[in-house]
Amino acid sequence: MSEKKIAGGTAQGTLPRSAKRSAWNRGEVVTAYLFLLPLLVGIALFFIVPIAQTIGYSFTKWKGVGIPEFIGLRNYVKLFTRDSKFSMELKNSLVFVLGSIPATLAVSVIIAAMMNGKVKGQSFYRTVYFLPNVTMVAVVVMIWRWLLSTQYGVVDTVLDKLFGIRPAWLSDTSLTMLSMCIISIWSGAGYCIVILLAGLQNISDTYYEAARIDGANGVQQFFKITIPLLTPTLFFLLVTRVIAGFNQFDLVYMLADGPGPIQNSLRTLVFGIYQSGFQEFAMGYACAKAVILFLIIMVVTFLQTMGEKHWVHY
Amino acid sequence: MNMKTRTILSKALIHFFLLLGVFVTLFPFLWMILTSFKTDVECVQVPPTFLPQNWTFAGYERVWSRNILVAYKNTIIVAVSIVFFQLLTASMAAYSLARLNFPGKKLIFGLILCMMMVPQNMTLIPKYKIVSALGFNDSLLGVVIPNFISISVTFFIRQNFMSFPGELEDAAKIDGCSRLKIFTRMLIPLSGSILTAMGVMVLLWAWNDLLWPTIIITSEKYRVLSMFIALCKGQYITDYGFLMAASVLAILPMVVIYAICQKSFVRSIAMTGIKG
Repeated sequence: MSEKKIAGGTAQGTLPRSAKRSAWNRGEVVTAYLFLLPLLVGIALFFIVPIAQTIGYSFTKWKGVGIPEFIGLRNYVKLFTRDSKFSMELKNSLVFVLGSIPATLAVSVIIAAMMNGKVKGQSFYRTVYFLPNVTMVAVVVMIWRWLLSTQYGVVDTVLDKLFGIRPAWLSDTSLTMLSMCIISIWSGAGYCIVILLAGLQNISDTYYEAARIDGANGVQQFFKITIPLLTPTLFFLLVTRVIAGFNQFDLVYMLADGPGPIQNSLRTLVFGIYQSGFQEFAMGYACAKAVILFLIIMVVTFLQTMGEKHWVHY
Repeated sequence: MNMKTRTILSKALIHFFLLLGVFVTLFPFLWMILTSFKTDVECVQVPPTFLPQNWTFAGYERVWSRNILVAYKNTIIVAVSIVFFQLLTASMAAYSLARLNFPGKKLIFGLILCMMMVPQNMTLIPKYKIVSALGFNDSLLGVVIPNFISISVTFFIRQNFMSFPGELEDAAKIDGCSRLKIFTRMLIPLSGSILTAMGVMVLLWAWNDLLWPTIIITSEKYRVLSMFIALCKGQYITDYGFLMAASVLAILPMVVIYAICQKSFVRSIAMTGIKG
């Protein structure tokens, strides 16, 4: 159904209608639309309709059953004036993105640069570093909950031996966000390393040879050649990782065991959507949160694209 | 001479740091495996033991008695169906978009590019209502249905189809091949590497996804592995032998597939990464 509308729309949009039509092979057009049909149905049903509904419901009070009651902008007003949980979600998402993504990229660039070139065991290193990326976040958190356990955890046992401290990584609310960022870096670096390594292998060796002849040392080469030529890859990673960071849910869900200060210290925007929508059944309100999530991602991505020309070299 | 020692020294330093990274990466996995073979008493021993004093399968037995097999079966059904449908719908659409001419092509491709920008988590609530309205709430089909297409997989397969020379099709057409045959006998067989790369990428995602199954599934008999782990966390809060055994079992299939098809994993990552 939807593809007919789209087809009709363009046929009218393109002016020399009869001329173009005759240029099209009828069999080809029919085949093309038949092959596109599943995708178009999927896009209509699970993209376009839900996007429109999310925006629509965000102006309503709706428990998920019955008829949504139109309340104008009241959900949005409440979000920004009377909802302390939402301000936590905003703040935590921002802190999480700032705390995990630049660090992940920095660690990944350093490791990828060390792996690049004629390093023995390159594929061994790559295999190992990528391993956390094939591990489901639920398990990643499970392992780290065990490692970071205050009483029995191996990390605190070592810290206790060395410095006599036993930080409560997962229950002291001043540390929980830090722990979440550390876990995120551990599980996310491998993906970035693989992409950066592919980017590094595209850098021609002649640059390095020229630099060596000019007497540049390893550190100078890293900052003057590797980093500038890697900026397109870094930019891609930055944009996609920031989007993924704002979409973080699994880590919060797995780290917080129930409502309380720990959950509040970690709750992100998507966790807020989940809780409002599927635990408190304030679905209209959850949709307003979803619209804000979308706007934030759009604005942040736009700003990054604006800033691109200042530091990305193609 | 000085130069040579410096090279050796810097190489050694590089390997030192890389091996440090290997340790940081692998130790949590090692600890998980070792803990999974410890008795529940030994798990909470202070200070912790490194190797299990008495190797035991008790943790695994407890996981088994909690019906992890059902979660396995569900996860396999869901993940394999998602991979199958996404590859099928994406390669069909990619064929149209890359190799055929029809009115509205640019518009549809533009639409696909736009949809790539929309975060999936924005539409959770209407998607849940739509899936419920279709009658798939609390069923495995409900997990699969909204994921039967993928915008990004379509995009990447299209990019790949674009790279085939047109002469290939012309020759096939002269030989009297229909478009369906060109698609099934030529494009698909020639696209083994991109299809595997996309396949493992989707498989990994579908296997590990937590949020959507958590929303859709309420019955125990439909739980997938990620939910199994998440729910154990609350019920067995200190039974780490059990939790680590369940963790090992939940990730084992993906780790094995990764070990076998490592090249495809790396290729899929590199492919999706270099589009800028």
